[in-house]
Amino acid sequence: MLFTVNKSPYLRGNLEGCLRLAPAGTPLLLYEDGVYAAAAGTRVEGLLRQALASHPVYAVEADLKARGIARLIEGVRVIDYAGFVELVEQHPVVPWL
Amino acid sequence: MEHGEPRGEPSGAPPRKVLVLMRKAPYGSLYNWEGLQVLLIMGAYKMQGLVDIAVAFVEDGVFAITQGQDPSSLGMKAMAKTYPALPDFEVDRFYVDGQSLADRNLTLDDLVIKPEILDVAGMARLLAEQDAILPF
Repeated sequence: MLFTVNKSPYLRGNLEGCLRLAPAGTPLLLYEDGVYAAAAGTRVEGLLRQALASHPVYAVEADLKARGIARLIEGVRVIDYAGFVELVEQHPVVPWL
Repeated sequence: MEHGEPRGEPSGAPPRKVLVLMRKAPYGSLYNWEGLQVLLIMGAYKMQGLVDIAVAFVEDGVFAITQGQDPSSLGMKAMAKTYPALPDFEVDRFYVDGQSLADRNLTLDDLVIKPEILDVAGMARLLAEQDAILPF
């Protein structure tokens, strides 16, 4: 299973809800506004650190670049679109829209 | 007046105070882009003395004005580049919610413009003094 999050972590408790239900060990992919969760030093950093403790966490490079996010929380793996596709091929996807 | 021409000065009425409230991040949805279009249009009304226009960035809206945005790989234009040009369109009053900046580990140095930072009470006063608030 691959949980994909594309909404801002500051809205709707979206990432929080995903983390509550995603089984430990399943990869988490942040894209579009979801990548704001990967920025270091924010109010939601604790949430992502919690995610990193039990999930591999990926963030899409193009979305980070578009938003000017340079300082990432350590442990977040940056991937390109090919990496995105690879993850989707390897896991059934659970889009957490 | 020619047919279809925009109307000029209203009969001595003071300009209506309008606040464009930016609440959303720039690329995940079109809200921010639409807010920018409204600002560019509102500038024309301000030139006619019809409105007094201000912009406030709150919540994820502060992401609209961060430096270093490069959405070329998404096939989109860098939204942040338009904001420093807004004073040329008569839009020059910018405010930002200090709490929203702090929550996102951002300071004035991270932004492409230098809005006035307001605390919660300041934000409440700003909202209270408006005739209309347009949220995006």
